[in-house]
Amino acid sequence: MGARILRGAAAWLLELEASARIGLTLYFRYPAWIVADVLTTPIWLIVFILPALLFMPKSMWGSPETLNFLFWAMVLWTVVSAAVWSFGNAIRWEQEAGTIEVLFLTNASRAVLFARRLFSALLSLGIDTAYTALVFTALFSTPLLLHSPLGVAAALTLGLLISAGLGLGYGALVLRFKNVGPLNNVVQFIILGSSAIFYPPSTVPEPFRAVVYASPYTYIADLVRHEAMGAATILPPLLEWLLAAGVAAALLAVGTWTLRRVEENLKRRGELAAY
Amino acid sequence: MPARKAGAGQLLVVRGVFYKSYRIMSRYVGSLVMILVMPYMLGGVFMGIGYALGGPSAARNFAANTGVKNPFLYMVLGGAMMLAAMIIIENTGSAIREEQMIGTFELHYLTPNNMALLWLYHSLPMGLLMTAMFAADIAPLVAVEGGLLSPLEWLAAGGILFLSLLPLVGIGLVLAALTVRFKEVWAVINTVNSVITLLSGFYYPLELFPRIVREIAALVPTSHAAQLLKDIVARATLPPDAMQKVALLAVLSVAYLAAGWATYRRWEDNARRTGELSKY
Repeated sequence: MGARILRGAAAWLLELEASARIGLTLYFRYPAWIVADVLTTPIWLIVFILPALLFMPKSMWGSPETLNFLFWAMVLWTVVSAAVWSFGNAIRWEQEAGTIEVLFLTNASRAVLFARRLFSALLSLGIDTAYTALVFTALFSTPLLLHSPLGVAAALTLGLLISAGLGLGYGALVLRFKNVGPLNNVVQFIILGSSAIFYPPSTVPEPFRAVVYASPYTYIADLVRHEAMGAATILPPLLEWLLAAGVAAALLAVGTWTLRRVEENLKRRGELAAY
Repeated sequence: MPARKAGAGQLLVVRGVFYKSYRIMSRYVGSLVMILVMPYMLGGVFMGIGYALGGPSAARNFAANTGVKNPFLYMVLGGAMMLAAMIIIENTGSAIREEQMIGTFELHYLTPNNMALLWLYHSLPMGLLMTAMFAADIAPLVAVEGGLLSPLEWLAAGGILFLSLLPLVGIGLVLAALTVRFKEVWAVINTVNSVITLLSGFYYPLELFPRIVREIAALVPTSHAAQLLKDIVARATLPPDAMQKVALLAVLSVAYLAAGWATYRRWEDNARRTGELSKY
């Protein structure tokens, strides 16, 4: 029994390593995209931060709290977008390349198989955050507030795990409905709008507050701001950590189960290869 | 007589491009709907953040910083212009890339058409569609404001947008040339789009930038269009230098189109000579 579990764990690690290798190989295969990211990140930072500042008096535009709040919101946007651009995108890519049936012939974990973009997302998140922080400091002459780098890294990783859980469910949708096209952007904006990422939760009017509090990203954003800026949290920090970790674990389990169910259904109906 | 024949032939080519574009667009209705609602979604996000940060005096602050009382109209207007500009810039390059991917790119070279002109024609249906989308995005908000634009103002707004998109077609031709040469140019397109978005001031007044940045922005056609359209649609005024700006847009259109044309032809000649044309 023990040996079986060990063998299973070793196989799972092997799959994880292969998935990471594919993800990182694809990421480094297109250096032009990495350079473009470096060039455009500060530009998009200005384009998205300036409109928000227009709603404040000019005298407050240099406020470190406001600018830091917007900086961490921009970083969290990357975490949220991993939910729609990770598994769904990997599945669609294999469908279009005509290789998905081959992958489904293996006994590898489907969740790990299509998780490859998460590895490049993790790397890209680290690079982008560090680079954007430099640009942010230079552009706005404001020090970046980062009380606990480890705490921020942990909260962002937890956020990526939540994105992975949601991404698995979204990937199941892609597997079922094939081309979801513009739905990616819609879902992304719905998540951004219903989570207290770009706005403090306290400013949300009462009827909508329940929706905002139901989003796991609200707590991730809350924890990131707490660890980075020392901001007050909605719930006690320990409770928020436990809550976010629990939600991440639950979403990963539900997402994996959904993906497996959709695959089984499609196999039964002979629609796995129809796209 | 031969000139008339050639003119009629060109009309047939334009008709063919319109028909092809219509067939492709009608396959992706979801994407069209997305383009239509995207300015509202982005505007909604900015409004939400803005009101959360600005509190009860958010609208007053916005009016003081921009001179516009309706922030949502301002944001949707900016978003509609931004999307139109982005799509036009990538349109020519992506049309070529699609032909390359399905293996029909070289077939175009068997026809007696001028290729630079043919790829240029691809911008016409998209330009008209984006102008219509812009009108469809703005109309409900202007109507809610209670200040319906006159037909002449609509015509002026649509004309200015279309005129500002023409120079971008020139940039699109340069990117198309890069597509023929380097095949994968999405990274370049993304970079060009971000620079043009930054310097156009779709979502903010360019006066916020230092003078040197404003002077560089004056070379970007959409910066003039954004300013003009914000005045006409959001501020309901015609600025005194409107005609100067329109003339400048026309000059920029000619200059950018000529530069794009020359670049494309040069790359194409080179590609034909070196056999690069069909390598991808």
